[in-house]
Amino acid sequence: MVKVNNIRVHVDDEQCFGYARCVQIAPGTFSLNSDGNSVAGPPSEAEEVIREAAWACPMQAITITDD
Amino acid sequence: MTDSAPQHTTLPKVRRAETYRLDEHMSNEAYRVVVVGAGPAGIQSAQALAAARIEVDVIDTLPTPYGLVRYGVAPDHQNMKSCMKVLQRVFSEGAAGFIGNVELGRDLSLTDLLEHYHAVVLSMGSPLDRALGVPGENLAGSLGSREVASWYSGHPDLHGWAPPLDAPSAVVVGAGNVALDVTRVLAQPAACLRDTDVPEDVLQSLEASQLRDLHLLIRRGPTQTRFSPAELEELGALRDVDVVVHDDGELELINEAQLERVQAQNLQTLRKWSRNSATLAPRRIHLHFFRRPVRIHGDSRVTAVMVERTALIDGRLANTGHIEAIDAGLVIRAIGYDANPIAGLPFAAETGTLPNDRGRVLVPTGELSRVYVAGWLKRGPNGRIGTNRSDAQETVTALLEDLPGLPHPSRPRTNLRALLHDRGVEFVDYPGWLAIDALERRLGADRGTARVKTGRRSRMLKAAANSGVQDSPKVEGAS
Repeated sequence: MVKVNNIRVHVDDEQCFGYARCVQIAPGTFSLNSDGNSVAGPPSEAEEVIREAAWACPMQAITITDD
Repeated sequence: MTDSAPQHTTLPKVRRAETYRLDEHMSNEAYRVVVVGAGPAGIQSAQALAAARIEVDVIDTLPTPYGLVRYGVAPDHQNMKSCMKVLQRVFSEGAAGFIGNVELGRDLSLTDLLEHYHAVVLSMGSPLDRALGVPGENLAGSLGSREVASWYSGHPDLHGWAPPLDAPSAVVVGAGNVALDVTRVLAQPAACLRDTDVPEDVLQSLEASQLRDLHLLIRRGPTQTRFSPAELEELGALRDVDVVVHDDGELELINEAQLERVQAQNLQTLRKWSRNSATLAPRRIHLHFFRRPVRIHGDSRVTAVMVERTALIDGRLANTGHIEAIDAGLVIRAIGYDANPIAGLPFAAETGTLPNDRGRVLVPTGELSRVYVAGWLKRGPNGRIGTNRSDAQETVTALLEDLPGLPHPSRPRTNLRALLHDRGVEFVDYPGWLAIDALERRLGADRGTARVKTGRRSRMLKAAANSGVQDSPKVEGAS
């Protein structure tokens, strides 16, 4: 896996309400699981795009940490 | 309001037929549960019950569903309120009934409920502000965060009241996100809240506010708060507001490497602010660490707060005896919540919860009480909206295990509405709420925003009552 940035992305499954805003903004990083909740894979968009996705989450379920 | 007939007007056809059949012929066969409290914990309990094909009604003291999503989440956090779109489904799909403006203990007893349903799930949360326990706490101008948040959220119980905003300085006590919410709403220019759903009278009070300095008192240090990093950062982004950090030089001494990620992020934010020079903004938020209120001063109302410095000594918080005064005409404590005991049930006063085993309310006889609990009343006032999903699921799992062994209720589910009608209770059903929702959207359109809340209960009830005579089907707005 090619690393494009140095962040770690986590979606809190309990807080996620499945709005999929993050999936729309950063589809390379976020996807929906079978429950309709978002899960984060390895960060593949630019850091600022992923930060925008985290910011856009209505439930603030996404956390980004420096790797 | 007429009886339950309008309740069925928006139900999908299949569901309507099924309900009819159950009402007429099999009402005593179907499992049915009533949930008391239409906040996130109650609605998510209803969702879990409906998924198990249990008939559900959700009761609330308010004419509206969604609890603290409507009356706790701050108006400038409309984004988070959008979870109502997810919570509404159980009602809009007809999987649960809503019966608002009905109070347990006033309009209905627990016994009334157990006569109509196999089981009761209590999810009324923690509606009281915890006390500081300092002299002067009961002076006028000393308030709890719940009162203040209820006020700016347009809660009907606080309609016509406003906190005193006529003094130049206020103190907020607390180290969590609620303290940040209250501070943020009072500090930002009222104009910034115009495009939110704050009621018009709240907006007018905020426009007339004389507040210049808001002092946030935090008992512990900069890395021992419960602030979410995103919500702390928001203070710095407020228009026409300076954030001033009073840290006694503490910030630069902290070793970042040893901190948990959340605390490290908060530390970065605080250090950034402490290096900022003031811009002479019209309002200032002061963050005071290692400070606790020891006395609230005033004759007829609050005029000052006496504050003691605290210190961490060997990891334990100690008082230093060093006292200073902060002038303030308003003190708001945001230090947590407490719950009301329920008549006839045990209550754990120290945690503000009903003693329970995975949601089963425990009674001294050791028998199944048929009463269950979910949300803050079960686990204490902590966690966020989504935390209630697993909490509610656990309670419903226990309830479903017990259900086959529970006695059948003596009266049909629909009789409860008739009972309320007989008692003269002006209850609001789901179409009634949709009419209130429509009213708020019309008020919003007048102000150029998505919604403006009305805090007047009589106006809400009137709108809901009129929904019963309209025959056009209504749908809860999409935004």
